Amino acid sequence: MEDRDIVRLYFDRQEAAIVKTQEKYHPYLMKIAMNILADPPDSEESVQDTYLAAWNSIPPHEPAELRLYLAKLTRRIAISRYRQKNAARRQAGQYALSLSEMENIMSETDSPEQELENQLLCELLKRFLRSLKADERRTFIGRYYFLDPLKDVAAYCGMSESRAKTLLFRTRQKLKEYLIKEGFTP
Amino acid sequence: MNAERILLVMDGLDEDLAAEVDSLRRAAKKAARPIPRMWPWLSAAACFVLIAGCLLMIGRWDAPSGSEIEPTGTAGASSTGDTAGASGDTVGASGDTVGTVGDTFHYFPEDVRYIRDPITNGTAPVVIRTKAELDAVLDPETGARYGEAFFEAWELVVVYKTESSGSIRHRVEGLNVPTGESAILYIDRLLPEVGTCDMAYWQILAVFEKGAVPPGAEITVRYTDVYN
Repeated sequence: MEDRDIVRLYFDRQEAAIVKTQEKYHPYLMKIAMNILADPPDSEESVQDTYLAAWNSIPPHEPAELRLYLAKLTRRIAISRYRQKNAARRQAGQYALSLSEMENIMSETDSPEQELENQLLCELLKRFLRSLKADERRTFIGRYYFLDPLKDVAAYCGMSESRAKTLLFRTRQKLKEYLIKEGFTP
Repeated sequence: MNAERILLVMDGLDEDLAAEVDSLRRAAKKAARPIPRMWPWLSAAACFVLIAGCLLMIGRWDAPSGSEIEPTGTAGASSTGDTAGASGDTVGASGDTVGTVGDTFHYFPEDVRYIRDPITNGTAPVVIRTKAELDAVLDPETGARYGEAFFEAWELVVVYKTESSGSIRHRVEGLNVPTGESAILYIDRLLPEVGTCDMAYWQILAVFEKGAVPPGAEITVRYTDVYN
């Protein structure tokens, strides 16, 4: 089934939309979730949450590329789960527990300044990525957006692992300098 | 600045940038057929035979006849080594083999489910390529997530395994397709130091890209014991 037909099912509010999405993209989304969580049950739950998020957001959102839209949702959900999991591990005592609970409240209500800063950072990052050479940009996005292992990134970018590692190191340095120049403190 | 924040704001990455890399990932997956490790050695051996043959043909091989035994002896020794390795690999019965496995696979699983005490049970590994085949092998509840659209891009390898302890878990490592008539699925058995004394029946469902197992190929499962 074509992606546009699946999106149409979402718009028609037919539950088959989720079934078709699962059939077509489950392995692809599991791989993204596993890159972040490295845990099959957690990854499975993240992917299930992705289906729910897709159901809740389409419509009004109409993704041009369903595959990439789902990848973005999975990435976001898996990172959030990863953070929750790590926070839970750190909760040794009641003080840490209270602090973590307060952090959750704070993160849910980001101040307008923080929101604005995040948006600015995102814009700068996009501008920075567009200024890079193709191989630098591809390795960076492969490693830090799709969160693929270095070995895989090197393979699909057509270079050795050591070359990819060097390229990423230099790109990170460039990004640091760029952000400092634009007024962000590392 | 928090490093995690950079990863989080990357969420807002433009779709065309993500699409550029995603297309590379997809293309690489289709082309991912790593060269087996022994190929360089086979190539070297073939070159050696070719050169030796050429030398013999043009009459430049002027060594005494006794020394001609030397290359044959070397070949014999290496062949003995291979046989020893092969016999060391095969331990189990009824097609189950246990042995050391290289880390080069033709295909890696895209997704794996490990179902304990499945509703349906079987013995031999099965490859499912269509919805109709699925309905014949799996119970409706387990097979619910695999529909016709799924089988346009993927195929499912189903393996059954009985373990003497429920504490033994599994990890599908990869699939090798040495010839068009056979495929070998490598699974690690993860053995704890101490385990429970209960029998466990497992159904392992591994998703591979479509065409990974050649039609009509015989599947062998090789288990490797991994001690935790």
